[in-house]
Amino acid sequence: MLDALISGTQSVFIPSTLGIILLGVVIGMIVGILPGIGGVTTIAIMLPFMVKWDPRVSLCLVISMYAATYSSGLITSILLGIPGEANATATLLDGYPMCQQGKAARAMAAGFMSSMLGGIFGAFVLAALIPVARPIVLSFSSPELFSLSMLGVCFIALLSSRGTVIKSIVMGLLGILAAFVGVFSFTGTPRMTFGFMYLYDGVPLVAVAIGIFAIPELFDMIVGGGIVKVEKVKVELHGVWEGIKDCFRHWRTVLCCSALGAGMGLIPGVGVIATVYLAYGLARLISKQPQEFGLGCVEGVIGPEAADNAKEGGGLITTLVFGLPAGVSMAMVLVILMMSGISPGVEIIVKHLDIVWSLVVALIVSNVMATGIGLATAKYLAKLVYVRMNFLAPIILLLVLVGAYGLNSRIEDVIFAFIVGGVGCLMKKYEFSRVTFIVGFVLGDLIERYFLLSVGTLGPAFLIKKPIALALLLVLIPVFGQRWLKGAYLSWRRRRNTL
Amino acid sequence: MKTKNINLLLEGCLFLFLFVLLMSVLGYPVKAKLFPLIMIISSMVLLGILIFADFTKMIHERRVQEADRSEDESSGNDIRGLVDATVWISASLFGFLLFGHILICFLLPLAYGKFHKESWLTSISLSIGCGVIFYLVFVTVLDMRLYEGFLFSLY
Repeated sequence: MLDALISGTQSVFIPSTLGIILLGVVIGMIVGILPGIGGVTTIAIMLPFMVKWDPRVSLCLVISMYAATYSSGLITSILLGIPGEANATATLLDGYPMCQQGKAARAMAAGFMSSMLGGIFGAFVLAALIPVARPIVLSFSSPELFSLSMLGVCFIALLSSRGTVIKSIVMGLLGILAAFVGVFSFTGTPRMTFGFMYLYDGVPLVAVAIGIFAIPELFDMIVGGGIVKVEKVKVELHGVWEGIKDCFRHWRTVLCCSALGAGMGLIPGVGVIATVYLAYGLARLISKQPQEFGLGCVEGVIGPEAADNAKEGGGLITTLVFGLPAGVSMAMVLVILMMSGISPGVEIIVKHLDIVWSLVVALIVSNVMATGIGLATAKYLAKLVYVRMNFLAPIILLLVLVGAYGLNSRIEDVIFAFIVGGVGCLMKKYEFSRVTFIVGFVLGDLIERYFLLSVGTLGPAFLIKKPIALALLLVLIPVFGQRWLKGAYLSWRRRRNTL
Repeated sequence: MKTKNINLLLEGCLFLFLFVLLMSVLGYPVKAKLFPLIMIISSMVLLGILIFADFTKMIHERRVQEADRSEDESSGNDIRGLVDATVWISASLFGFLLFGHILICFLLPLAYGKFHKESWLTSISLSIGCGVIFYLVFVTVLDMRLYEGFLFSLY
């Protein structure tokens, strides 16, 4: 454990990795502000270029990008009243009124500082939970791992279902099925290839990620067009120190909201929006001046920002150690792990624990960098919101073309990515969960392997013989039951009102 | 209402696709077909429930006939944007297949900018900027092999 900690830390503090973290922070800051392009889309576009990298480096880039994206979303929220990312919507409630009162710098400094403290808190939670999670994971055998992976897909289905949960679960199952395309390693049988030689090696993960996430966003960008229409504001950057001091003045808010964020990150299925609004509520609850909330109270900025960044640390532990991604961003971390040939769970805990530790350190470093850069350049970064789609759309389209081809230098990959892109656009428009599909796709191979090993060793009734595995799956009954009952009750009430 | 119809149609297509998949999987050896069969059958059952639920909901809503026309009208306004996006994305793919990376890096931003009423100066600057930056980053720095295009591969 100590060796892994030292090796992980050392791997971050080398100039090339620090440079990558800085690059991730800069990219994250930009995409956090640019309208129409989010962190997940950017990761999807960048995946092909990261394939040949050391997984530690690519994960550091992704983690630093997410940390910066979460932080930079507050810039436009405070200065322009437009949340750069969904997680910054709660910050807007008090941040924008503060800006209107001429306290923009104070609000931003408080937001960045609390983001940093929250991020560091999350990293420490991750560090503290590694020794706890390790023996649990090591005690798991194939049936428990099978149940855990299925649980991951189902939780993501629950989280990402905009339509019905059933639709989302179907997408997860389809994702798992898509993972079976290609030659089956146990028997050498080509499965679901329909005679296409291209599919014998399986469906290329990167082309699917580009098609599912990048092309639909690009499509919407072209459909939407134009620029964000807002009044340009003049920002006076005075009061930075006051904002920094606010974080220490309201240390209880920072601590409680960070703990809430990290805790929420540990629960797969809890979205970032729920977390930031809960943190806003908590900040109001523990505030000495709750009546000021919504009118420009600095604690209303501090609370959500701290929780937002702390969530990442909590989310990483479930993703890396249990293979349960807490949300879309963590699903992309899982994609990168699988792309590098590393399975979450036992493999990462036994063979690649240094990667987990390097992520802990990278999380701290990137949060510090994001705060420094954010405070220094917020005024200029905010102008990015005026970038026209006419400039962005062709650049992203070109990046998609280069990325899809660059992976294996195969033209088929580009065509395939665009076909999947078409399907992705339909999925987005008609609310078929794309995240559940990709998580199912990423975990599909592992799920089948665990299933076959379990059946091989314990027989078809393996779940009954392993109570923990059964209990893990039974967790789904109350979770889905509650959701289903709520849905049924609401539709009954709606029908009653219409009659 | 239109959205719901398409949704139902897509679910039906998915069901048919799963049925085709089921037929193709049946011929595999037991180990190779066991888990895919479980997944396909589960998906088909869930999809069946979903189609039934959506269908009954659609019939119910058709009876009530709420103000769905406004949705149709607003979706009619979006059609131009949808066609625009589809044409641009498909044209870029075909342009890429024909002319390859380097030429498309110059052509696409120029054409896109001009079509969306940017000035010649802005479009040409964006085009040259994109072409040069893409070449420098991907060919010079990352040492990537870019696609030369179908037309140029003939020579």
